[in-house]
Amino acid sequence: MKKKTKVCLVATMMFGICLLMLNSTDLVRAKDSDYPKKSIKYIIPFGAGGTTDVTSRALIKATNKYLVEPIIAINKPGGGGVTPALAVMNAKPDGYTIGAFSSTHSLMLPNTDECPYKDLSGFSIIVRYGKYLWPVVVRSDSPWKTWEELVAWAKKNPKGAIKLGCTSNRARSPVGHSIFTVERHEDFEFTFVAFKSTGKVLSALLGNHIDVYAVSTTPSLMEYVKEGTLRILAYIDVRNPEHKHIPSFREVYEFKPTNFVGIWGPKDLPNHVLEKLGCAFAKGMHDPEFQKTMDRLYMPVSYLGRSEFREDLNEFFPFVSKTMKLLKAKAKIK
Amino acid sequence: MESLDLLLFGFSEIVTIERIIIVFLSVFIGTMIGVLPGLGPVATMSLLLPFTYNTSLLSGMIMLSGIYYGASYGGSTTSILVNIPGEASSVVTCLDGYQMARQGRAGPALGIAAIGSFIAGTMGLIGLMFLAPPLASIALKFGPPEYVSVMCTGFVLLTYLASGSTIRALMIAIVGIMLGCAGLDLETGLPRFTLGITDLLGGIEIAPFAMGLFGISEVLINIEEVLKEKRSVFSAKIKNLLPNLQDWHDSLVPIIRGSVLGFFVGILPGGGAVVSSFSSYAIEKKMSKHPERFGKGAIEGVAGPESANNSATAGAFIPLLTLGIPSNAVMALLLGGLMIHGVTPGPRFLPEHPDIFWGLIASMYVGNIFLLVINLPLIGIWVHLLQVPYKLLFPLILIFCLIGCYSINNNTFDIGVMLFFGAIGYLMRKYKFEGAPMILAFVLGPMFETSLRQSLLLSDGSFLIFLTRPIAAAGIIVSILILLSSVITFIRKRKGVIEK
Amino acid sequence: MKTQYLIGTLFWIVVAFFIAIEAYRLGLGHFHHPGPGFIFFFGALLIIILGTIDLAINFTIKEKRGEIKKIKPLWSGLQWGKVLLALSGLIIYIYVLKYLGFFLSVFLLSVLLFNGVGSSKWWMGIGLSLITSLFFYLLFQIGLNIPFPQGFLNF
Repeated sequence: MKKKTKVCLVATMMFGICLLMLNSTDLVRAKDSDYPKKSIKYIIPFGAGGTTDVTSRALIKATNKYLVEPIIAINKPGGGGVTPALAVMNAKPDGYTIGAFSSTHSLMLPNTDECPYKDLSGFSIIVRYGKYLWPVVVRSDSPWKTWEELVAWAKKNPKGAIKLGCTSNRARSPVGHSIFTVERHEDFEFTFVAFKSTGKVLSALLGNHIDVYAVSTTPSLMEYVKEGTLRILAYIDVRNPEHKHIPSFREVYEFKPTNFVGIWGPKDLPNHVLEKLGCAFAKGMHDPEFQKTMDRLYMPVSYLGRSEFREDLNEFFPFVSKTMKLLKAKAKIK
Repeated sequence: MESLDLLLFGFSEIVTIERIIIVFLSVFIGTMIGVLPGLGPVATMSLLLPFTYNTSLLSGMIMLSGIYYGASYGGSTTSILVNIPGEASSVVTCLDGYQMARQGRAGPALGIAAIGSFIAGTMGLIGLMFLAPPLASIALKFGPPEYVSVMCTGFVLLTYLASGSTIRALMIAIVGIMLGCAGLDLETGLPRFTLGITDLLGGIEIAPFAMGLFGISEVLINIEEVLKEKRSVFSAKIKNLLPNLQDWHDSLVPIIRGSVLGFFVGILPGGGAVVSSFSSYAIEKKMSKHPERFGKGAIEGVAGPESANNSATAGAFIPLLTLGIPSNAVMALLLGGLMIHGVTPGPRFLPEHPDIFWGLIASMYVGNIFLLVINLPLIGIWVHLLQVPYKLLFPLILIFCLIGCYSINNNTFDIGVMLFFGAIGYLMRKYKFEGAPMILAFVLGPMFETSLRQSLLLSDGSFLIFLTRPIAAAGIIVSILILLSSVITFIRKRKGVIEK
Repeated sequence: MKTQYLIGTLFWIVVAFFIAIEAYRLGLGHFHHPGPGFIFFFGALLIIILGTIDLAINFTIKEKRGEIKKIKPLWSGLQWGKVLLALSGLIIYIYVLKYLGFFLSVFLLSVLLFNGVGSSKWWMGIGLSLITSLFFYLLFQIGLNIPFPQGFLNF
């Protein structure tokens, strides 16, 4: 074994050194001093295959056409959303680390005890690219054909008689906050049952273990609605354009649900970086393939530039803080 | 029969040079990924997901699923060779597979694992073909109370995993439950036992935990015991490269039992492959005439679980393809891939896209054959790799683990978790606590707790929900029966000993 | 000899006490609506009970029939120092990874493991370390495209 191994080892070494050399010549190539000079890391705070993941990747693919160096996506779920947010916040503000975020990361988490950041000052907002579709769904064999019927039924029956399935603790989810607002308006209560993923909530609804589903759309959900097995009673914010007759809580109860998915980076990103990225993403959002993907995943394209987006976020923040305090108080009383 | 016609149709879809090559490459890559500890199929599949944009949908699906079930073949390799579970479902294979390797029987272990996986994969596919829609509707009937009863059954089987003191196994299992439940509480959002570390808010990840508890601790123990005395960890005599007739005789029934069990358990979302491999091990041990051989290199302990976890991968496709509900992270990725091409899995998927469904199944048959062809010759290479002197081998093993672990989440914290449990595992082995019950409880515990609390919310606090719902009640009765049977066996043994 | 093993049981009993206290703080809820601390509290209780039983069995039943084998010494005479060295090397690797980058960290760690722990000859250790680091770098960073931290030397 000894002689052969030695030869193999030497060969591998030489091969490797050659590759290293090839790799480093890349770095020496003459480039213009514009940003971006190398690939940009984009942190997706959710697992692969989900709505945010697929749409982000589609956006990146479209945007890369407008950038000299590509954006590369990495999934970094974990820590209930704190880990990916921190990864963005603590990165060097050189424009080579950015990430996606939703209301959970920017509004709900800073209001919890264990989140190291308490506000948005550690982040630069870059752009908003979409809004989630949040339907309130029941089975078609359930006794409630409209949202009003459900509310009327709930008021006549004991508190918490209707079991609603959601994917996280009520205080941390934007859907939870919106439902809470509605419950206070109409003065009734759901029993909130948290599940680990939207898939589990969907199977719980289909299997008749819960009465109502209130989470982000999974694509299969719409299939069940089309087929007639499930019925959408209302949308919390934006609607599926095919469902014009279904009420939207935003309109009925006149409040702004904290519904968005955007892109952010560490604070103090230089202006030319923000300009370049904002511009590139805006162009990417016009790409027909990106729009097709968003359509298929039932996520409306919703552009908002960085200054208006930040204004929006600042507006949402106190509202969310208040709601969370109310929810915490409620949980303690039990 | 209609299904067979459709299957032939599926074969016709994939019999193109391009697609056959894709099947081969993807299962090959999948096997290699499975061999690398830590780096699971999900990471690779998400890397390759962009490539599927440009290929046809069926080709993309074939590629992604090939990596998935290829990885479960490969995962058993490191479990057997170096006691490092490639993924959580391969943990059980470590128990007897590694012992076989130490006795010079790595070849037969790998061989039975490969062949058992092949048989199980094929049986699972048959189940998928004929039973998919009815099974899907049964799977929907499993709500939180039913999960509680399934977990109860799992806990009762847990005691069979222990080769030593049952009381100690129970103690360490409870610790496992608590470790599994650490993190953000689902219902209240309160952080539980996260020690103020943000990375722990999502809980302890199973891959670093398993790699540390089994793999790293084994290396540490060997460093201590073996390096000094210049013994070798693995017996110098390689007995043979393939399973002999006795091995076949012992393994046949476990393989069949494991395949059936794994398929059905794999349909249940959440922990399907892990639970099925553990249950298979426990059942084999209970059914064996010589249960004391388990833990010391009994080939049934490899044949059953390996078959179970392979047929579970076939079962895991069912909720996705028939209901549109992904049962694990891999399926979620496949869902993403389908969505990109504008195909939504769900109730209308089968009737509207039979070409995808049957093409996929046909490709899995082919893939299984390729995997067998790839894995069997590799056995010789792996076995000879083990002959490298341990003082040269162990740094490679350790670094392998470090890198694999990092690649899971691009997070150095995971490496820390792995090392921490490596140290704990090392101490546990010195003080005679076993790792297998801990890991099973780690997986089952949080599911049990979540389902229990969900059930009580759904029933407004009443415990009757477990008895009034037929499946849940059945599960609980089964667990009580198994418990009674092991208590009776225990009493009989003690009586026998006392009478001596 | 057996008492050495019993230290393990005692350890878990002590840990269980602390867990029970923290679990109580988290909130037990009640049986019809378990709180976040419920499973931890009762789990800890069970550990204490089982541990006590384990201790009792081992102290009262002197020599379990047929188990009067020689028990290997736990700590003396074995090279737990090497284990500590290996562990320390691995821990240092985690901290150093960000600063030195992947290739250098792996290289240094391998040298430590081959030479320090494994006692290989110095040239063999360095040579193998070089090849190992190279091999893994190629395989993971370039082949599989996994982004490893790049240290100050930027590769």
